[in-house]
Amino acid sequence: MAEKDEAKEKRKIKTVAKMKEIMTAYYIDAKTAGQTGKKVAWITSGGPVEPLIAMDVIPVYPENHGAMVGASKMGADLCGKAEAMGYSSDLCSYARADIACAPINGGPIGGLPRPDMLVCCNNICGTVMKWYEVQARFFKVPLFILDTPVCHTGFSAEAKRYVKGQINEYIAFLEKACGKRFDYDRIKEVGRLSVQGQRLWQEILDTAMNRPAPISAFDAFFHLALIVTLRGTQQTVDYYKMLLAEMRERVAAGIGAVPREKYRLLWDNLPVWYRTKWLSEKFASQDACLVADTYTSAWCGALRYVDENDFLGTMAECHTRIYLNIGVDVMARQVMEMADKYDVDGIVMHSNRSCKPYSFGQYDIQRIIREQKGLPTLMIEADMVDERNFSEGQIETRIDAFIEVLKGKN
Amino acid sequence: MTAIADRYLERVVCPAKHRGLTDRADYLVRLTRERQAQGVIFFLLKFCDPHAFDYPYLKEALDREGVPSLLLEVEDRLPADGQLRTRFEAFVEMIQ
Repeated sequence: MAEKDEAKEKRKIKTVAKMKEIMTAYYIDAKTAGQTGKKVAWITSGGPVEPLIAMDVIPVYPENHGAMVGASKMGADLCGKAEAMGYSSDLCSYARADIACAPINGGPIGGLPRPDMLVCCNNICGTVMKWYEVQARFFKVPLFILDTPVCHTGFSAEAKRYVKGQINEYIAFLEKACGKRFDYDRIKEVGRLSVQGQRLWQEILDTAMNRPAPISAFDAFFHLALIVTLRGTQQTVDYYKMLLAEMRERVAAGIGAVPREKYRLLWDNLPVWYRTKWLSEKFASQDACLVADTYTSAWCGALRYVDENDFLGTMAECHTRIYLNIGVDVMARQVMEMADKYDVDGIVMHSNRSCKPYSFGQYDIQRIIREQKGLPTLMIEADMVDERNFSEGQIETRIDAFIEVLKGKN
Repeated sequence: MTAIADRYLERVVCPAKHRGLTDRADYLVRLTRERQAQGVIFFLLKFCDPHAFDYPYLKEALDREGVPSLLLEVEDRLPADGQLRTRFEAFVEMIQ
């Protein structure tokens, strides 16, 4: 820790305070919805949130809550409670933590606000469907499931028709649950703001193409919250404009996310929420910066398929062709494109016990990358929320060994 | 073709698919009554998440009916013969 406080202070991202303010206001708004008469919908992280915004429904993300549970190191306790309720310890720790929180208002914010409806899109996994069934029985509220078939390489006409039909059913579901007509003019505006937010988020992530990278994946894990939860609002657009401006200033001033960036790495899979600080410091101490990741970039991946002048019309494709809903070879190709774009020296893969669709196929992706790019990869076995699955000694040894490999290559 | 489609639509719901919130519990309870089963054994294949997610509510439905149940979690290879026998015998004794 020879580094001077001044340099450390300079490296801190200033907009963080604003972000905390926005998220606190958002959760207060959601928690007091019962008094203000607003409706609350729980929605999965890959679900279409924009129609909810257009209907003035407050979207709440149990997965974002799961991340908070993990970051607060309450995961093991809550997961243990779910196991006592009969849920297997092999199940997703976000789901276990959330299911355990509901009856006791547990967790870091005393439980999520009661939902009026549940919106579940299975583009990210089949787990969310079972999880939302559990919560629909518990809260006795209507559940909408948007079923997005896996599209290995392309997007067939049948799949398109199937999912598009469900978008119309989703709107009918919302009209019934809210007792009012859907506002087709408003969704155009919300859609435009959503696309604008996604573009800004992509631009922010792209500032990491600079050397040194002004932002690391660990920063992105934090700043991601708005593009997930409040996508389609002016507030999100304004915030990301501010963050982008700060990143550009950092690039101009040569301020990096880590003090001495020597190795540039790409992170794959969800964060290890209860150990982000430890991991971030561990990599920084070895002069390694995680300059990109497949996780936070997933919230701008739809930019490939979106038409902002036909937002509803392209919604089906945007939500079906996402990173976790495509074939492993296409995933590998996308990872390699990112590796080129951000000019990385190696790849860090988190084999996440909780997230089977994300972790299944990682060994194949690792092999494809090694064969086609010759890039070294590190596999860390852990869990995003349940800290009982984190072995510090083992992971530290693996990171050190991996850095040695990188040193040998440079 | 229609017959194949009908079979998929009408068969007992696979937990990986969604059809209503209580269909599987309703079916299990109905079957238990029809066959006058005095106990139910859940044979849970490890890492089959859809079944694992359904187990607590299915067990609850049986508890409400007063039907005892036993949970057996197995991996792709069955545990030693004696081990299973002991658990089954204990369960049957409990029912009697």
